[in-house]
Amino acid sequence: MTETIKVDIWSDIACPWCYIGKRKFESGAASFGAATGDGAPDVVIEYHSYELSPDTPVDFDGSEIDFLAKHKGMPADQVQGMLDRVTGIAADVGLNYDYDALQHTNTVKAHQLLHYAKAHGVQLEAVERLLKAYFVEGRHVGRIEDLADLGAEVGLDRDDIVRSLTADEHLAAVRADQALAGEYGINGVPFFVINGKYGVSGAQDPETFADVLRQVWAEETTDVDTTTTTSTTEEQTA
Amino acid sequence: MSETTSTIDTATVDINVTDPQDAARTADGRPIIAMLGEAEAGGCCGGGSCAI
Repeated sequence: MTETIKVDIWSDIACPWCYIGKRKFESGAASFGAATGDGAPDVVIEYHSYELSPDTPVDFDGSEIDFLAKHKGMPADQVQGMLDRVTGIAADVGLNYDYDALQHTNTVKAHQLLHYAKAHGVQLEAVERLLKAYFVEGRHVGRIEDLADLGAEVGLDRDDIVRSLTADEHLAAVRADQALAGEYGINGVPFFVINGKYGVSGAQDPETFADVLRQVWAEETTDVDTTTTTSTTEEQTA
Repeated sequence: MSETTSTIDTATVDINVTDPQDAARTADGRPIIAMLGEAEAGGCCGGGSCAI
């Protein structure tokens, strides 16, 4: 029986649903903890890298509408409608997205910063800081100097961040995350892997996350023998 | 684009792992994860497209 539930989350800083999903998961985990009471396990979260648009230049010249219209081949008004909708859903969970200020960019350095932050014990703080910087504050999250400023805001050594990002110190870790995402068959984010064996895709409602945690925890606490594998049944229906 | 994940029978999955690197694997080496949750949820996919 485990004392914790481990949740591995694949996401990208440039994914509006990832920030929304983060809020919804946090709410669901809080509900689960409150309902479970003193016996509630710790929910341990680790973020993993997923680049939605690795070909995006660091200094993209244009708006988010320009970017999506070009990449998706969608009319600008359709893209605007899509952004309006996601902005409304973000507002419902307390996030004030500002697409007029948003600076679209390449996120590979941001992902490296999240690995750097993990190595220094502040990954969750860094994830929240970067998402807020990107979607709410319109700050640039693609340049080393800007990322170093944001990293310093969560207590990291600014000069050492510059060194690390310049040297691509954590690029291999980013690529390893992406490779593992491929093994899992992840083709969209956010994607949650719970205790290494359950997957939850998308920004589910808090109640759904709470139900999933409850289900996983119930299984963990009722499994007497967790060392014997009998068989695995896989039946997926589209 | 819709997330169209679906439910997988998990009744006989009983491996207790906490690291995705150690997850149960198929014969060709892919880790096995059983999908939970609702089929329709907002998500972002490659190319920067985001929709429900």
